[in-house]
Amino acid sequence: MAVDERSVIEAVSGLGLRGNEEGLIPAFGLYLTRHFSDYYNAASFAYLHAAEKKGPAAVAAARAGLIEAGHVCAFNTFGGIMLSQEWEAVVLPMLESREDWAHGIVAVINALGWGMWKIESLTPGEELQVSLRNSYESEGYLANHTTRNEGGVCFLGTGGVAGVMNLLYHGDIIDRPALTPDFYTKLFGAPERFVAEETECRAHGADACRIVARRAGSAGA
Amino acid sequence: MPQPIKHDLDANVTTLGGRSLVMHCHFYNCALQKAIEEGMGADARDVLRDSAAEPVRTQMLSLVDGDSSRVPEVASAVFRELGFGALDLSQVSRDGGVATVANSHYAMGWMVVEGAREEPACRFVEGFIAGAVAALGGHEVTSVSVVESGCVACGDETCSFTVEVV
Repeated sequence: MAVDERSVIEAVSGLGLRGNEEGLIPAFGLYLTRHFSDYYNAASFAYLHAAEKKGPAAVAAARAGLIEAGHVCAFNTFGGIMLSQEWEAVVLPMLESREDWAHGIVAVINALGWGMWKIESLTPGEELQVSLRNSYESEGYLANHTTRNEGGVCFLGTGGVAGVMNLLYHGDIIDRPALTPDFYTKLFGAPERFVAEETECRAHGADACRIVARRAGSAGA
Repeated sequence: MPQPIKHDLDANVTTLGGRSLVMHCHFYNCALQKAIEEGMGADARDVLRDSAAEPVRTQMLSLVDGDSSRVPEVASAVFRELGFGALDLSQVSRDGGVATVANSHYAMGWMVVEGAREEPACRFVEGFIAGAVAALGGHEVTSVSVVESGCVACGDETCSFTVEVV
């Protein structure tokens, strides 16, 4: 059975995720916010630009730190969603294979306001290629900066795509593991983990952002 | 809420008061702040605060439609709706005052993810309040100083913010 992305998007959008009387949005075992993309972008790009003034080592550290935040997001948010009652009720009935789970979580992501993710190709256990349109990161960059000479800016997206593969093909989220710090370390710290790279970015002049995740140490990773 | 949050299902773009909104959890919010604080050191506080202030100022101006006296009410409603906690601006005027936040997403989130910290955690909230007071008083955001004087993540009972217009 193919994942009906539109019905997933409409279902998640219809969950009424808004602050309760305490001003909190508890959902998927998390506390959510509907946050300002301008905030994330201004803070992240200020960090990146400050690093670029210091040199390559500082840039590498900044990129790694920002992508690591994306890993944390993927592990907890994607993982939390895939373990949730809402997933079980809305998405799980459409899923027959592990690959369907990747399409299912991308459908949910496409209800979070991040822009439209599309799986361009998925080689089970090996590689995931995702294109992003209306990425809030690259579109936010272009709203306030000129096109970059090098390097993409979709750090959350990069960490997120790696996270999808780590949850499905390195860890086994289908087996409903607890999302513990030890499990995080296993998924994102082990030699056989997946890592992702943004190969094209709107902020670098491309027509869309493209991110590929492969095993660390594999050709192209 | 003065306006509903709008979501374009085809583009996956959400907006309120002309500003794009994206959904993220306390793990990511704290992880991003931690990355920037560790990477930028003493400069991080101003970066985090300033990154919030201007978007909030322009959103407030859009939402109150010319009646700036409504900013405290609207800002508190938006803050709650978006999941940041319960913001009380009743003791804040266009000239400053003291704001409080109960159930601060950032303070509570930080305690859950990282545990207690020595410096206040609610840098985004400082910027949010600065943006709201700037909209209320017709100030530039750089003219509004907001300092978190007590934070749950530091062991205080509530998160409180001293607001001054300079």
